[in-house]
Amino acid sequence: MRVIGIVVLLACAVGRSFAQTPDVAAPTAPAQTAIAQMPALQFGSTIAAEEIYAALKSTTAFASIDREKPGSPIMVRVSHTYGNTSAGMASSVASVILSAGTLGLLPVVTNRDLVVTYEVVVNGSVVVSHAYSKNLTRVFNIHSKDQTHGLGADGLAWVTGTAARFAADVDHDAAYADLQSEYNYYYGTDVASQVR
Amino acid sequence: MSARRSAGVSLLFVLTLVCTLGSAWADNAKKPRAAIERSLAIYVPHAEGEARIFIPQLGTVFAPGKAIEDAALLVGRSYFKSAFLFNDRSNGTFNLLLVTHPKWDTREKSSVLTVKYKLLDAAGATVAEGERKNDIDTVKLLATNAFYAMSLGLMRDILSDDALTGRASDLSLHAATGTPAAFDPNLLVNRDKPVKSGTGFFINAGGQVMTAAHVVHDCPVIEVKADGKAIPATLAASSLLLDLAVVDTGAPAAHIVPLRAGTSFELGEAVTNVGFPLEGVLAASPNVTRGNVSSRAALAGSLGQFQFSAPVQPGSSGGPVVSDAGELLGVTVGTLSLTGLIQKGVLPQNVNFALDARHAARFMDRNKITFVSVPARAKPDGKSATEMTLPAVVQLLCYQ
Repeated sequence: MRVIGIVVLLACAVGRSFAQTPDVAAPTAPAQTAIAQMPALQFGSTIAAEEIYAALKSTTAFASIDREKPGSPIMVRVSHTYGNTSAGMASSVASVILSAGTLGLLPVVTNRDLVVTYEVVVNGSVVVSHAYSKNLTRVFNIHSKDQTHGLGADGLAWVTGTAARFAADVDHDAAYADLQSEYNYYYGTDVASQVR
Repeated sequence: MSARRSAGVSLLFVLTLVCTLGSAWADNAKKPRAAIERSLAIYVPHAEGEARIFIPQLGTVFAPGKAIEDAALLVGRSYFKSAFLFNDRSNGTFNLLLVTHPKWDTREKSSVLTVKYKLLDAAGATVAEGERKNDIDTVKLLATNAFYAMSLGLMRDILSDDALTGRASDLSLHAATGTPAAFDPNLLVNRDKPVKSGTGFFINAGGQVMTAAHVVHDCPVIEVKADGKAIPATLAASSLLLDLAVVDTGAPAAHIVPLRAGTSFELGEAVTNVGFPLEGVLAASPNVTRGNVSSRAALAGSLGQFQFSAPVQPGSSGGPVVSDAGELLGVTVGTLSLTGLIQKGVLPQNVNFALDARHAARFMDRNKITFVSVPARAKPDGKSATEMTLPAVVQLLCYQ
């Protein structure tokens, strides 16, 4: 219990400022009129990997992602962190206590800030980064079997939807445009004849 | 039962009190009574800022370095008129620069965050300096936001220090402005120990050295060690995609490694690799290893790489892979990661990767860098590949 108290203390003290962390700004470029060809991109995610993979794969920009290409120099990396609002943390803990006290008859209500970060990593270095955040309130029963990675149906839908937002943002990202241009220079379709 | 209820009520009261105080503190931190009328830049070494820890059991990524950056920005903006992170992509101007060197020492029971810091003015003069540390039970460190909370507390301690704020707020001083691009990088870095090291080789008489991009990426200070001398170097060109870079030393080179022109290599062709592996463990002397081209392709999905068997170690990256005639066939860029394979009971041996030198040639063409290429030739009499290559190979050190 003492540990929970300390965790709450830390979380509350920083929660409000964390919640206001702005999305990562990135230099912008004109939208690509035609998406340049890209190689197979590695993919990794700490959250809802199957759903995000499918959502990204359905976009034009990331149709070439492929989890079976470990040697690709380019990787789309998705990670997530949770922040806690002061009120959200207090109500969540209280809700857990009440739910447990009623042997699960009352549902648990949680409130957290979820930040999902998409990065394009080239040979280990991050060249593109976009972050999306949302305050999620979730109501669930402690006896229910969760199929949503702990996000709830709405939360999972929002997380999956960030894939399309990322694909759209990348279309205007100057660093990603430079990467595409470089790829086409070194490995584009007519390169074979240029390699001396 | 009543005792439990009473304990629950007490807990809720404490939680409410704690959150109220926490909110009040957060508000107070955001709205200081009198911000110092100076612009602050904050330097956090890139290796720290990029650090990520993934705990599979918790399914969460922890970013202790980003926590320090975020905390420093929040506190910096509270105590100064404005604040931004100092890096080669930032284009703001600053009156004062806070150089930080954080270090997490994580042990089984307790973890300690130590931040060495120095406040400099735009001309590089020291305004204040010191060291702060704080510790926490390791098990509590993984609590949500604990990295951030620790960082926030320490940065607040640093920037609210009376001596520091007293000197920083003297409006008769520190009016000059500086920019990240114009600031002396030697004043940023910790010269006690390089954060990474690698290998390179001279590719022209003008003293330009080729290496792997990951050896010199995000290094404010690069040093080339040749013949026992340390030569400062600057980045001339870099491609993360190829994992290739060239640095300028400004020192004429008596020996270079020429590229093999026109043709590729033979499968099974003998190769020699020269490198400076395991900096800090082995003596700073080049290692020469022998092997052959094992495959024209590397890992599935790789681009422009081939596989060779000459042993390499950390620190070999950027080293030349040469033929018996001393022609450059490739640049060492990596090795097969063993971690996952060992767990499966597989122990691969000498599966190493090099970027095909023909891509290195295109890289230098694109960046207008002079190099020498020679037609494929038979092994010259009297001289081995080692004798021809060794004098042109150097060690590279990266300081942040």
